Amino acid sequence: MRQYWINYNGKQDGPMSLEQIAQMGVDETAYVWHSGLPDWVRITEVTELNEMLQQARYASQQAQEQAPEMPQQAQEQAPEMPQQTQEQAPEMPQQVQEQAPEMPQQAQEQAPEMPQQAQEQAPEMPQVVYTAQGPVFPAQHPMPEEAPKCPPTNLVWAIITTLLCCTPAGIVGIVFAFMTKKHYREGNYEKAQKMSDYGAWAIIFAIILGLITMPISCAFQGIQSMQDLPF
Amino acid sequence: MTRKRLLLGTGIAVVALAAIVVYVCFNPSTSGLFPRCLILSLTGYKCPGCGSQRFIHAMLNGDVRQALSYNIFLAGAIPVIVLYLLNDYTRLLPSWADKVLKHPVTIAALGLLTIAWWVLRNIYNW
Repeated sequence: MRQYWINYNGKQDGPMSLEQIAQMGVDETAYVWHSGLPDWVRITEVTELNEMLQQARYASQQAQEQAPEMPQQAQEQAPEMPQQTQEQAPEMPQQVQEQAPEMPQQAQEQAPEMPQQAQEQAPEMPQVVYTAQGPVFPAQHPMPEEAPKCPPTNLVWAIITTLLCCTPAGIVGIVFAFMTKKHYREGNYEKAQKMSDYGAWAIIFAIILGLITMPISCAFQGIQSMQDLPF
Repeated sequence: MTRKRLLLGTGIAVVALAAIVVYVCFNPSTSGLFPRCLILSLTGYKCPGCGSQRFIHAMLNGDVRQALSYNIFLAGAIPVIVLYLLNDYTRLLPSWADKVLKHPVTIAALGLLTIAWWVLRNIYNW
């Protein structure tokens, strides 16, 4: 049976079976690795796990009833790290380390260790399926980011709308840009995304308002300047 | 991707060139072609960007002093906006620039500066 290592919500776990992952209740943001893969991939890129996700979505209630307990056995199975796989262990880019200082050093050490057994199985790994689903990852493909990317702050556009179209909406945009970054730095990624979206809407509102009022303003100006004419 | 970018770049360049020609040739203070500020029209108070069009017209005609008298804040804001655009849409700036430009302190400072300018220019009629 194939075993998986999973990276979800910044936490790494493994080895786990398909059933154990199903019980974890992960979503599409999770990354997985199993022996035979050169690097971490999105969970949706592994056929059987993607199917499991789809099934879990339809039968989410059933999945919830099954208590997500992890059998003791799985932990005992934790294999040792052979030298060879250490090289394969995806390295975390420097940037990510800076962005997620709360990540414990431990996580790196837990980077997928390839058990001896799995190494033997490696030739059987459905490489074809993997390559058919997406581009082949280079061996030194960076590890998935622990922290998601910061959602756009839209700050430039907020400043531009402040000066050009509609000051109040632009200022609101700047405030949302600030909130986006603040929440992001605090690790509150969902709120940061929300604030980013609100900021984008404020700017869109300002631009639409500007596009509506500008022609009216121009026409008004034109009428006024015509009245100034002698005839 | 590159073709799309080329098209987009050409489009932006053409629009920018047209805008520059319009702003060189026509004076926003006398011509009826230009939109007036919504806030100024509705409330009688200047917005932080009021005078931008006259600023650009004067600047493009080489009258720096006149331009600064219309909106001195814009003289500082334009380089900042250019920096942010370069940072967001090109890779010309080093990676630390993004950290500085998107730092909450920077964002808060920009917001407060804008509001301060907005208030002060209406008090002292700048």
